[in-house]
Amino acid sequence: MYSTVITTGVVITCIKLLLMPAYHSTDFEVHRNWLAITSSLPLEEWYYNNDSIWTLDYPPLFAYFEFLLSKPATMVDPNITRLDNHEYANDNCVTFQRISVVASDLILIIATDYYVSTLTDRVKHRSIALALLIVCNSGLLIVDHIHFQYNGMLFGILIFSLVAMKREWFITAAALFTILLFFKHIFVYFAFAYFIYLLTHYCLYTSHTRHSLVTIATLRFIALSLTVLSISFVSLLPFISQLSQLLSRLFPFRRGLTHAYWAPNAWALYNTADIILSKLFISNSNSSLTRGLVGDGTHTFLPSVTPLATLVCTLVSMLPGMLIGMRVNRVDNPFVRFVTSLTLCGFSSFLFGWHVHEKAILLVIIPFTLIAIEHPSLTPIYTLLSAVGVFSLFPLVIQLREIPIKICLFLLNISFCHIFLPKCVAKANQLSLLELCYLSGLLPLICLDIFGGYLATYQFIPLMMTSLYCAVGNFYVYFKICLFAIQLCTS
Amino acid sequence: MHTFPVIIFAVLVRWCLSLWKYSGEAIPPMFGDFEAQRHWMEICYHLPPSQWYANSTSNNLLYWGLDYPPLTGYHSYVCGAVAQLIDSQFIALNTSHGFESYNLKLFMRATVLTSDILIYFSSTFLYVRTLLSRHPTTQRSLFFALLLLPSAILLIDYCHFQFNTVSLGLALLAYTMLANSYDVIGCIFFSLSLNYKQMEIYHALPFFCYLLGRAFKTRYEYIVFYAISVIVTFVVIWYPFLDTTSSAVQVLKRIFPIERGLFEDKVASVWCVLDIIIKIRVLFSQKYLVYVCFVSTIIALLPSCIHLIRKPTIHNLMLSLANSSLTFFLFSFHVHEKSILLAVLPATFLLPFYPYVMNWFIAIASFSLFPLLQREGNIIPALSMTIMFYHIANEFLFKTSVISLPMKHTHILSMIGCMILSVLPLVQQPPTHLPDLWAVLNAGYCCVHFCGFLYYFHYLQFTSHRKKFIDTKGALILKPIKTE
Repeated sequence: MYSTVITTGVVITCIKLLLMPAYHSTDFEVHRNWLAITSSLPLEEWYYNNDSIWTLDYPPLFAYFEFLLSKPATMVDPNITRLDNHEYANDNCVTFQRISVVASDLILIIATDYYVSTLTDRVKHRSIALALLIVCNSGLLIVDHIHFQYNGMLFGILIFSLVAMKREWFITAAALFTILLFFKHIFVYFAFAYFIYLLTHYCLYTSHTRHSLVTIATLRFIALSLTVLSISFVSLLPFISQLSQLLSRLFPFRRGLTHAYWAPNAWALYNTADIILSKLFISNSNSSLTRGLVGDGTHTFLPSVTPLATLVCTLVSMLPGMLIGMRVNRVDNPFVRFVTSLTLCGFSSFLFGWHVHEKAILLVIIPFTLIAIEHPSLTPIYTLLSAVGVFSLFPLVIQLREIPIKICLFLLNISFCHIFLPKCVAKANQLSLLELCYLSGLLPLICLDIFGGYLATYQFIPLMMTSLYCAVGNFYVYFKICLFAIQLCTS
Repeated sequence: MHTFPVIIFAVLVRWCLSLWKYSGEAIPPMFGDFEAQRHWMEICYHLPPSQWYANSTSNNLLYWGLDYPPLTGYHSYVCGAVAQLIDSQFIALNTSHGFESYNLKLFMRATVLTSDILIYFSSTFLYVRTLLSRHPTTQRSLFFALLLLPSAILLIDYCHFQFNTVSLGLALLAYTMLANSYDVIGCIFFSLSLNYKQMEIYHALPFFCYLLGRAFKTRYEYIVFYAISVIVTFVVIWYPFLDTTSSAVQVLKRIFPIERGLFEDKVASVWCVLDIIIKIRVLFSQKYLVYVCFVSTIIALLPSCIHLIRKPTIHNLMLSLANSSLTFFLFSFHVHEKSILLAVLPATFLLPFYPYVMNWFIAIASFSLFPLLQREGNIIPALSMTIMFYHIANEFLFKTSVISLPMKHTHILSMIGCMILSVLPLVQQPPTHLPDLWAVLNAGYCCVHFCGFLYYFHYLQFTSHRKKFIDTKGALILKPIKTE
């Protein structure tokens, strides 16, 4: 009766509701505190309040969203929105906040359903893969419905923007992306891909011959800039006098190169190298990196990395992604090239960015799903990426009780990839022996992850192993996607 | 068949459900079924079988004394032995009453999941593998998923806390064995099931009639084999209690508590609903009521059973199981709201044949458990699990059947009624002079439905010969159904 996506959406919504009593991280208190800030303080003080250590550090639109949520929250239980009520997490509060995430996820379900309408008849039957890998994405379930965040809604907006891009409603796509950026600034990873694609495929491209290219390009560029700027202006307007305060909240560079648990990227490899080298060459080394604290971990042997250095590395590694976005050729499907470029930009920011969270891998996985369902050659790459991605999220949820859930989600994710992604007939397009070995290597790591808590003296070892192993996998996948991109451009 | 993801999904749903509250969580002095099961592990592990059912200083029968047959005791013994290995505090004799901890809860939930996987999963797998072998992969995977997710059973086992999947799984195994013509093995499994939970007596008569009918059709001597296999199984299980007749009688007295009363709480049985209108518990003596219940149950069972003896097909057996358990639920003595699970099992396995009406029935059965689950703070899993199962069955099975219009309308009205009656208790306090109003309304509503279903299931059984569900080789086939 309903479409595949909606049907799957109903089932997964029920599962999300079942997950309500699961462990939630400090992010739960973060969001409760934001509810309190936005409901009890005047607008001007939102970004100045520091009663709690969990200060508001998302852009204004998300703050407005919390403000809207705080209205029903006060009705459910006035204690939720009391500023001094730190660590408040009774049944009312948990139920309200969890349901708010489940409800906001409806945007993701609707967006995915909408995306299905843009699929050509040839791949329409793949909507089941889309439903299972985006709407029921294991990573999203762990991050949003166990750990606690509102990413589903944001990815919903991203997919709406991508639909607009696919239908060549460029202004709408740009507007939606700007809105998304003012919800959560982490999506700035994608900004380069958007900018370059819009520039080359919208501003500088025309099939009309009546007007000169320069006129059209200028007009279109002005239209785009106006859209982006007006949305930015409206969302920033109330905070216009406190922009520097806002920026210092949004981009806290003092937080250090890596997070307590190293995201599986280049800096995890760099940190490990530093630890090993300093153990070898400095007799009484005591690295601050392994203490698992948020803050400046200083390297002892290798030179310390500055934010500027990470920016340069990120930009350099983004080059292939941006080059693909630039190639104008309307004969084949330009949308595939755009999404590839988006994925690569997200990936290089993940691999080389400053203070990257492990959760950011979702920014790579979700857009990549959109093209993986159409290209048989991407099936092994996607399987590898999502397996590594979901596994690298395991340390977010450490309680014994949630371990079966994590493992089930991980296994479901792999089997969905295996069953529903397009099958490859060519041998070169199947998982190679090396990749299979790598995947099966994840299993002992899962055991280490479970029993790692009992290694009292070496608590950091399982985490380090996890991020190292996943970092290697991520780099491999990154190069594979680069190869795919090159094929896309040369064919 | 995509066995692996289906199993993983079923495990995921179960573990998610087990995150919720169990019955009697942090409510001293008696706690609830969770504490009962833990206490049984304690008793069965530390005491010899001869003392399991006897009152003593270390086994106060008034504090959750063992009142299930011996196989439950053995199962508790095994679980107790594992608990002893993990943390002896869990089941310390006498001192662990009301013990609750994060790890204990995890351990207890894990025992349910393990028993479930070992027995219910494997018997369902065997059922799908042997009886639905001719169907396309996707269809079979879907049936497998549905059969693994009966909402009402999971809610009681994983939220409320019980081990119904063990007894139900054993009964199902017996059914699968009979369907594959392994009659003696079937008898043994059903005896095991009956010895795990005396409630399985709801299913006993159809099994008996089916075997009787089969023997009449083939050779009378088979009855002897059946009888011997049942008796041997019983003797083996009851061996520790057979040294004196008094100890066996003591066990029986514990298992069938005649003195317990006509019904507990508010339940959708005919007597409970009748009691709202005329106070039958005041008007008649307990003894008289037991007699009335017995006679009315037997009379109501007769049509279905006689039909089964005359036409002992495997499909009729399943229909008769549904009829018999529903009859027991509606008419027998001392009925729990949880007893409806006995009818949910055959209904779930009839889903592929009569998707529309069985899905409706399972939804109502889950709905009848809402007051119980709501008291324990589990209304959200109850609602989402019920909706999830209903939705999956609805989306994938209805396409095969054409339903008459009046039936469709009744169905929609009935579902709207369910929705109203499940939302009302959440938003509105009952009036002070009628504190049980919502529970009574629920019981009445469900009772009317169950009576209707009982009639309709009988109709299905008596007309089943018109539909060809079984091919020449004995495998079940699911043809598109014209009308229901």
